[in-house]
Amino acid sequence: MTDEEIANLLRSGAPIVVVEAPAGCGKTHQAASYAADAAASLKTGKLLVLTHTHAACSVIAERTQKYHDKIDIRTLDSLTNQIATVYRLSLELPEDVSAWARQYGYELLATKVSSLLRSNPIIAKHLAKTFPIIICDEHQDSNAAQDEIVQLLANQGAWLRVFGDPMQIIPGGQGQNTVAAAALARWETLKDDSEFGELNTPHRWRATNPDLGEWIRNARENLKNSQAIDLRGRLPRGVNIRFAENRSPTPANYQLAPENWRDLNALLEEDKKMLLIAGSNATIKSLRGTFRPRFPIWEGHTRNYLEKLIEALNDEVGDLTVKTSAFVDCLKSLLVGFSGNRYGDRLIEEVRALSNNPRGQIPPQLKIMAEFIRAEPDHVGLSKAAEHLKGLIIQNADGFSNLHIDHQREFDDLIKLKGYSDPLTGFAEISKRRSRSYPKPPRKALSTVHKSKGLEAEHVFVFACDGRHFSETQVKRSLLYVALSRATESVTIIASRNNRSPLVDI
Amino acid sequence: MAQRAEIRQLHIKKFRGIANLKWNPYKGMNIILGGGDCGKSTILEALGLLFSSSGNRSLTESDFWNKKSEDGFSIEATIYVSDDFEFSAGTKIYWPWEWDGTNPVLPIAEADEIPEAQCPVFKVAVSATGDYDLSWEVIQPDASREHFPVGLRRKIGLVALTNDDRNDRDLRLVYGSALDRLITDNTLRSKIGHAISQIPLKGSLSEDAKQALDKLDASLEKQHLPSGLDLGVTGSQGISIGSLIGLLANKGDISLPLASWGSGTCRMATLQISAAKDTETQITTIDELERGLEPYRLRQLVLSLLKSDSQSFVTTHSPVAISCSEGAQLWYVDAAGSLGVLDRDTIVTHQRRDPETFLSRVSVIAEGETEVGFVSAILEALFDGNPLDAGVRVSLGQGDDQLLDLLESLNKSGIKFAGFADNDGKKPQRWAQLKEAMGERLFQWAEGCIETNILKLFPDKYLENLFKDQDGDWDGYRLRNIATRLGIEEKAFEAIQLAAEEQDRQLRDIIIAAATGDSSGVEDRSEKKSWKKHAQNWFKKADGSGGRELLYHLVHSGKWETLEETLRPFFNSVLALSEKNVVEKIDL
Repeated sequence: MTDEEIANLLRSGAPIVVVEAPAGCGKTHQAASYAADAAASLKTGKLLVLTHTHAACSVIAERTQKYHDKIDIRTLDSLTNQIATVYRLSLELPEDVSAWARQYGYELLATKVSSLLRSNPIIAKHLAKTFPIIICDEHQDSNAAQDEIVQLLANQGAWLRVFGDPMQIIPGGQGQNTVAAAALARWETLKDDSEFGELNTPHRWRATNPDLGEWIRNARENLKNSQAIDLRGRLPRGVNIRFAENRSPTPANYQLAPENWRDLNALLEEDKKMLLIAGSNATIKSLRGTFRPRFPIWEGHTRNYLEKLIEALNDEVGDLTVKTSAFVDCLKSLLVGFSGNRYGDRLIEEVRALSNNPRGQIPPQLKIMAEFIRAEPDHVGLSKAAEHLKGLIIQNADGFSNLHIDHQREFDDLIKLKGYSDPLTGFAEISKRRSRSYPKPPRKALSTVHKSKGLEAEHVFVFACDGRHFSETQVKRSLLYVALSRATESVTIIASRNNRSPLVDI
Repeated sequence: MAQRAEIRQLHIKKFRGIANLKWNPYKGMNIILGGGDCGKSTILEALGLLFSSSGNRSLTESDFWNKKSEDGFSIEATIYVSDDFEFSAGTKIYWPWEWDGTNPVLPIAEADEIPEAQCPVFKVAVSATGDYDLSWEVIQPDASREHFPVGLRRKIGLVALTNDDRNDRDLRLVYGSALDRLITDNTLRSKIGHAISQIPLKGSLSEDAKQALDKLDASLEKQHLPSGLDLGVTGSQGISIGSLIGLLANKGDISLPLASWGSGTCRMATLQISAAKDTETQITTIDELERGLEPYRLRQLVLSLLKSDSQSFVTTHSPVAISCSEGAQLWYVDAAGSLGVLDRDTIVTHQRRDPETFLSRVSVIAEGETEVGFVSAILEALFDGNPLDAGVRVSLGQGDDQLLDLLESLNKSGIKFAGFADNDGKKPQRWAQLKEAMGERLFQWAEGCIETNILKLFPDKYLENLFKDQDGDWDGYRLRNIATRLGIEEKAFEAIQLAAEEQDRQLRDIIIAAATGDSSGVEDRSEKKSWKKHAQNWFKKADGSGGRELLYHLVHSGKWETLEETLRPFFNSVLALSEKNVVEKIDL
């Protein structure tokens, strides 16, 4: 549909409007412009914009500043939090609902809130009166409870304007395919009950490379319809393909074949802004040391390893060696070279029982770290141990000179944790501060697909288009689309001939 | 369709004379009765304070219970608003509670069934600290409190007519008054100020006055004081321009301030002004409904309040108001400050017939006219004059079921009352329960009615006197009644005596039968009717004189002593209710 048709659809009298918004097709502009018009027309109540991230909140806030007193922009979590706090006595939650949510998860909180709204139409009705029009941003990322909350409000008379892209459903972790399938099913159901439209003008590329925009749009269609993207024959300007094979004995890692290295290295040395996107963390780590100069890793707005560590600390209350083991896993991910046999296992041993007279370059330092951990057997001790380790790495101390910090910021956040009495609160506080400072990726960076979400980069290199990274699943298809759609000038796909990805034809 | 706001519950703590009152008012018209100083007006004032349309209220120690300001006070209300009422202000969201029919409750987190109709209510409160600081708040479901802004209070729209005769603020543009809410022209005040300042007064001065002014001007200038003098309306400290502007109406050819009409008219006009903005909600409080109004205007007012869709709270001392307010809910505040309900259905007949029952200090409800006369006569002796002067009123509660219902309702209400009843053997359990609750205040004959119980006390020799009036003359009707019942033509007393002996019947029994209109044994319908009417010749007289006559005979026959002990506890309880000393013996 044309932009005008979508704009009219949004402003029509339909109670629920769903707009499928591929990347770069002007979704934010449409949403913000509609928000301004709708807010101006509201006689009672306010317009509510629901997003998933604080970053998205601020973008829309910026564009609708003029009507700020009639528009309320929140994250879904924040709305959930507000409802749960006001009705916490009904929900049997403690006074600090945020702390509870950090411990048990916002998804569980959302489930409780949706159950509350379902059981008490008066609350949903009151919300619908307060917010007669609700705009949902990135609705494909909503979980089942969040989706239900929005629908319960619609049932009581609130109008919904839903924006989302089913081709950007990229949950991570275990069971991702089930989660993605459920999310997709919810999207389809929502479409059924509503007026539907699809944006398809590739605005983002208008000033940079319209051919690329067109190509990406078609690639999306292919991926959506379970077809392969055709990379044979003549490719439009800005779309490139290079071939390279993974020579790593462990398929989990990625080791570029030497013959491919020179060619790619030359490309990557060019003086351009570029983003290297890889389909897995392990690949990112492997690539880190592959090219000269070393590409920094874009850590984005999430801290997955640190989160995992804190979760582990929460779960296993007491046993110090289990905690240290989780700590070691975290370090293995954040650093390069922190192996089990050189460092990790020995650290755990020291924590279990301090050795008497450790010899060598490494064990005495590990003993010092263990002492920190034993003195304060929680996040504080671990955090101080990490700080000590950082000192060793920076000073290039003997025995630690081969260690490198891959995720600098995340490592620093781990060290900051010692300043907080509770790791969950500390983590939340650190995250909040970080989200306010809106860091941007460096000129050349490495990133996972997940962390690249929301970014634009002039030149994107997609590693690696093979059967392992981009196999035939809905999630992988979406991952590939998200990766491709980051590019504004050119995209270079690094494909494997030996282990072909079913998503592309080469 | 007008928006609606209803107060579902009011909870007053330590405000003026009220220590702790939790009350669920009726959704329509609430009429609050009660003796003086019981707190009727205080309830209205509490509502007025909670929903006051301006922020300036200064407190004094008398606003605090027992003048203990350090304890503070609080007035809390649970309020229901209709769907179209936007209960919000600015950026704050106020969250609803649920109404379970009796109290505001928290919503249930997980319900098995979605309830059909839920009722969202909001909790609001005004409280004072020991520092005489007032704060208006909305109480959220998590017990946190948000400020309850003036704008929202005005939106709920409470109209209060107080006792204050001199206060005609609602007819003037005082900030927050009814007229102000109606006109809502923000620019009006400044326009008025500007217009007033344009009035050229200097030109109207006499020559001498002008010269004096000019001289003053010159001397001020010389002293380097402000000059260029003129005369104009300057206003005064603390009095706003708006308060000087009010409604004018035509009286004949001239325009007079509406406030110069009588107080009754002013009050009715004020109500009209408030009702004029009919898209807004309205809760009305009127202290002393009848003030300044003739009965016919009072009836109009009651009917218009009943007809309007909104909730109202009134206090009254007028029986007229009570008698024409069918459909309103009557409440009674007792001396202890608790509020009792008078069940509308059971009292409605009595409400219409004898509204003063609910306005008396002590109400004595007697079963029939005879009892009314009997009890009144004894009370007159005990009170040494008219018991009405002490606020004790004897009223007629029509017999059988109606009386029991009425007494049960009165018992629940907190009204001070006593009951004097027959015993027809019906509904013994309910009577027993009532007796337990009322104690000596309820007198019920062990069996039968007043006639049976008293007449059986007279010795045979005395019976003759029952056929004579106070002057000693024979009462032909009574003789005829007995003759008829004996089946004889001759109605002379001797003949009657003889016939009774011959028929082996007790004269006394026949007299009792006549006095109670007993028609058993008679087949013919018209004759049955005529026998029933016999009672009206004896002691069942509409004016109660029959009861008085019975008492007279009791005393005169010397049989009062016999009955006195049985009756004494009842009459002592009436004395106790009236806060008089009980007697050891009733001397007549």
